Amino acid sequence: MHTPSNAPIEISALSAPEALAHALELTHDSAARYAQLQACLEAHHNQIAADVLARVVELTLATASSMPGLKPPEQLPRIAPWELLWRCPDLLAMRLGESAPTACNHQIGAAELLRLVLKRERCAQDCFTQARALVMAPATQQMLISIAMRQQEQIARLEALLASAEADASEQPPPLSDLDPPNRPE
Amino acid sequence: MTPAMIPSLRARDYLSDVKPIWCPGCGHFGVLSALTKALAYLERPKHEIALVSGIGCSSRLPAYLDCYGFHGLHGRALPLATGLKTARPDLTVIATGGDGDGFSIGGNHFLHACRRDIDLCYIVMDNAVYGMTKGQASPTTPPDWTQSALTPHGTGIPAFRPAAIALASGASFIARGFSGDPHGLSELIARAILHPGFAFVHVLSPCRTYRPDDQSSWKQAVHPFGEHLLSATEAPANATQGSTPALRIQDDGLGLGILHEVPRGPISTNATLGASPDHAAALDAIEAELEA
Repeated sequence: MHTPSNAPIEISALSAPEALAHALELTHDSAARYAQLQACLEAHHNQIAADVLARVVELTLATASSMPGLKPPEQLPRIAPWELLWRCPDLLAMRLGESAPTACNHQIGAAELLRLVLKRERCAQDCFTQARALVMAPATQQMLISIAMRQQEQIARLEALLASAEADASEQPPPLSDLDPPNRPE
Repeated sequence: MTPAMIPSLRARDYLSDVKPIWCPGCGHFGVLSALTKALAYLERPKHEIALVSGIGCSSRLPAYLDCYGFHGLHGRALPLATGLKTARPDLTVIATGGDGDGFSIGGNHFLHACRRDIDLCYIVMDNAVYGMTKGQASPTTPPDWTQSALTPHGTGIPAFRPAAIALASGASFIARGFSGDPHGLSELIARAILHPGFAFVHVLSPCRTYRPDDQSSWKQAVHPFGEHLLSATEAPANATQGSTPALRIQDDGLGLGILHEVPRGPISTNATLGASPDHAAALDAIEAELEA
């Protein structure tokens, strides 16, 4: 059991396999979050947004599968959840400020939803880029450059989805009367 | 960082097939994520975990995990968890619930669970509102919150202070986390599960439906809790009875981390009961009576 600490993790000493393990954990974490939100929006009868998230989950898992030097999980270092790169103080502050679902609601439209997703994905991209600037080992630097490239490709695909959603005049928000659940205040 | 092997169970393996119906953006999703991460990190087998809850949005949580679960009566999660831990000390028993369930309807049980210091982990998802019943003021609602039709001028009543009250009641582990930081929260939950005593994890978990404006600022307002709360034994030598309000001064309610952790007091542990021949015989007698 690791001891709790507010001290930053030692990014400078990160090895290439550790960097890959971090990237995979973060990417799978994003996919899990999107899948969770997809199920939630389905439960709230917003099928348009749920379908968008299903596609985002596919793209995110594909990005995870395309990571450079991918190895079976058992061959990668184990990362405690609280030691992920996003737990770094500066990056954490950014994540809390950027990726928290501040604008998500049960009537969210496809374009708005994709903008939220892009916020999170760009935050991940920044995370990899900043880590790249901090690490010392050339192999780790190269790994993080490759990971950042994959992440950039993910962002490009999501931007294309967003452009499509914005251009789609048929996109309609769910009916305003659909409030079951969640409930309307008294 | 110490490299080790990937555990056989991942966080997602602890999720059940039941999909949460919490509102999109609800903080409880972060708690669910943190809990599964903690359980995976601790490598707890699913059949050795039992989740117990009361009533409320957050009390739905046991259904979303693929472990043993009991959705009990309003405010009674802790008595149920206490009974379960007493009968099955080998289980990891986790009680979950909200601020209304835990601090109002179950307030009495909260005090005595802290005092008894039973080996439980109690996670309270505090959004300072009764969400399931459409947004009434709860024990932790600020006195000037006027958005409920029941209290249009605010309650005027000082808010319940869960951490300070847990400390005063004898809890041996008190932590506070934020659902917007599920990775950090997972560490607090893991530590709470490992703590051999009553471990109270107070989670700030915003309600996007009924408290969308004031609680959205939490993500900027939360901060690491730098120092432990003063307990009676830790108080400075020059502290007097009159200076005990230090608790109120030090804790602004938004500090995250482990607020208080001490070894459990010298009480008989339930773990020893499970190994006692007398206890085993008593359980056998009860089972035989039930079967008859």
